Amino acid sequence: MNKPAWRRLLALLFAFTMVAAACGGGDEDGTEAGSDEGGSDTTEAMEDEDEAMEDDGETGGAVDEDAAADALEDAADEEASTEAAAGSLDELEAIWAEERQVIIDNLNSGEFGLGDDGVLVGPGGFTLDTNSCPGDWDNLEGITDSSILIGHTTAQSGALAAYGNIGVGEEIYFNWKNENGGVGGREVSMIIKDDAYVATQTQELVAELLQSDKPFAIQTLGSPNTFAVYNELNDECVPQPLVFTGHQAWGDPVGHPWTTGMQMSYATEALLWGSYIEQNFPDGGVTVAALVMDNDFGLAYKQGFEEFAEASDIIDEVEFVLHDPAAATLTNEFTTLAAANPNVFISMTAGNPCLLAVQEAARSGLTENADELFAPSVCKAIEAYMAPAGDAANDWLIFGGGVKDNSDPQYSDDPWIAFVNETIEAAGQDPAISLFGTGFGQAWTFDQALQIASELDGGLSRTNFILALRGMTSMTHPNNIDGIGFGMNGNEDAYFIEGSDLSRFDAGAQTWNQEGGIIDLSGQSPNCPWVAGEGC
Amino acid sequence: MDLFLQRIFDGFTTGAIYAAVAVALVLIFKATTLINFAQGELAMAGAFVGYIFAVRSDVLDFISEEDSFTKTWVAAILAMIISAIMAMAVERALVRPFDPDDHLPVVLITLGLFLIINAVVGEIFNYQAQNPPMPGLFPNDFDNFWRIGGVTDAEGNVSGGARLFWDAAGIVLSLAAMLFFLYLLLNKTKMGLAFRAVSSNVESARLVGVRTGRVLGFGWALAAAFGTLGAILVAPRLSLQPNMMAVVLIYALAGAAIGGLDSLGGAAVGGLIIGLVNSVGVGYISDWEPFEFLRAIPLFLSLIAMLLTLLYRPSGLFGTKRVERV
Repeated sequence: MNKPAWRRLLALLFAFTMVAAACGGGDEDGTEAGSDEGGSDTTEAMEDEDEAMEDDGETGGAVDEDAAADALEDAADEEASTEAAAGSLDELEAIWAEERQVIIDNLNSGEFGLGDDGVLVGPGGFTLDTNSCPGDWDNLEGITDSSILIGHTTAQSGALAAYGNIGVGEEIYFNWKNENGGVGGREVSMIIKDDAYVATQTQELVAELLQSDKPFAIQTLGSPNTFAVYNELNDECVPQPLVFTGHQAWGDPVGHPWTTGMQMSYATEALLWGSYIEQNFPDGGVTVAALVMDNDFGLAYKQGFEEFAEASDIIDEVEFVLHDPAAATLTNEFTTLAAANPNVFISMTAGNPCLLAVQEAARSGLTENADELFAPSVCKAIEAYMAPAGDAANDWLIFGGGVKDNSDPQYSDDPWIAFVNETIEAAGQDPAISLFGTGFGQAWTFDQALQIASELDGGLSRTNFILALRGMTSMTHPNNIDGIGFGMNGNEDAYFIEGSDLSRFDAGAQTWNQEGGIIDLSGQSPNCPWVAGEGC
Repeated sequence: MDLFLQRIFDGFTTGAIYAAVAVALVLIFKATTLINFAQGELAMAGAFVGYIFAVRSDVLDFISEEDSFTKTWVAAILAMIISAIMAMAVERALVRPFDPDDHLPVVLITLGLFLIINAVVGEIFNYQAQNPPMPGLFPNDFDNFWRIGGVTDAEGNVSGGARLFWDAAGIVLSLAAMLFFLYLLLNKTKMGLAFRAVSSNVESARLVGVRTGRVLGFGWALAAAFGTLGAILVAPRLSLQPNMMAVVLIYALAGAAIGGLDSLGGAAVGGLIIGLVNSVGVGYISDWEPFEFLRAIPLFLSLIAMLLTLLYRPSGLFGTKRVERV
């Protein structure tokens, strides 16, 4: 080998080492949103990490561990509800109208609203100072007497493009709504932009929306994408409602009052996994293997479960294997996971990897030793992730976040699901695509908040819309399983859904069978003022 | 030992996937000295055509339901033919009008095709994985494997050991058969001779009467057909959806570069090397704490392998060395 070649090789190795050092180091000084952990850890190796979190005794945005364990135990003693849903959509609409009126009366009681001093006051100690908004900020931007414009960034291309179906579902709902009189006489229109699940593209698209389209509110999909713009949207005083991600950071009504989530937080879900393991493996010595999508979404799960496992006497070891969100196959990852011989496997991934995880768990032999296999709540979509895996999907467990899967045959007589599927079909789309149904669930909440805000003193405005969301203390969400509480209450309760079902998949019947009652944790999640690199 | 063997099997399985696309890339490169960035998407679209024949339409219903493999193979062959025709049409309409010496417009066209094909297939079939899934060309149930090693308990149940799946062996054997067929086609037929002449020197081939345009179209057709076969082979493992080949293309490119962009056999070897680097290399190196990050970025090690190869053999392991008279 000649001398220049040696030099090139040395330079290459040097570069490799530098990258390794940069990527493989600890996460004590992370400055980006989310975490920056390496590819794999065991609990032993992690004991000296995240000390600040341990000192606080907090479990980042999740409910108290004991409360979760008690709720899980109570739910296990109960029978799954067999109560039939309301008979028709009209009956449901009557229930919602009553619930809306209670909320409207409360918010119009004189205590709440935007004062002359520019401060919005809401229930549960919620306040929002609009004096810090930009000088050209307009409380009525994006709305006219006849229209409401919503901006929406989502993944319509790239590895997680299937999630773009949520936005399509939402648009189908609003189109139906427009055909039936709109919201308070206003037609809702959506501008949907494709960010390919790339956070930097989300930033560009949101800037474009703010500068050119000037919508009333902007919705985002994905944890990294929402993180990328939530400071800016809050600084610009633009509502960022019902983001399509369950990261615990969206429960921060003080620091980020314009941003709300909707689904059960990933931190709470991680706690439920841990509580389930503690209650069902009392002899201890449990090895857990987890597949983690390497982005803010997967790392939120990882952080939540890691904290639980560190404090657990039952869980001996956790093998985390991170995977590239765009990975075409998970074969290699599962060979590593199966080699750990886990008692419990947890899939902390999303999108098509949900399906690949079910298939590869069977193919790798991981299922030979594992007593329980958990799918994450975001994988609760039978047609997309379970059915194509055939028998390999049998017996997987899920803390499903209490939502109904519109492709699950057990809900075929449910009036809401029947409406969802009929409307999707009428729009020329396939109701077997569960994420359309998810979009309907989000749109329904958006619709209710718009209707409430339209009836508040001063009418529909950005501040009244936020007030409606933060003050929507209790409603019967039609896309939720009976018994799942749905509501927020200012600073006291910043999460809409804090309960879950525990369901086991029946591959023969292609349905999720609920085990026990609802795990009810309503109002118990602490707020999460997220600090990059540290957590809540 | 079981783990090592399993990683070797994994490497060959995923490597064969990359190799199939790498071979298709090299076919076009040999003919045009261009990288066709739409190769993976053409293959994916071809797999969807196969899926229509195998699952969604009743065209092949005359084949007995019990004989599902025959039906899938017939569907695959039909898809290969249709893909080949489509690729010839693309070459004729979008590539041939441009100056072959000016690569930039054609590269941009292939990038555009990548996006268009992905969007069109996504619009028609949605980005969700298809259900029912794509049937396999080989038996691919989760218990269709040979176990090497393992432990037998008192009741006679065997666990552990390395698993070599029948469909994985099928993918590797199909790749070998594909290469053998290409060897015969390119070395024993007139069209193959013309193809090699065009690969060697377009101008000289044209001067001796070779209809270069037709030969280039043949190259595109061949690449599309074999790409389609590769995509149909792996669709049951990757799950059939529009993005299934996008990342595969990146690994296939690395494989083709390692093997040599003008060597069909080299591309196959390169693809297998990438597969092994990902399974064995990443699997073991990432156990070392400073390199744990490799699990989340497996592409990194593949790129290192590619860089090291090109550092010492700029034409790849089996590529033709460029010799210039000075």
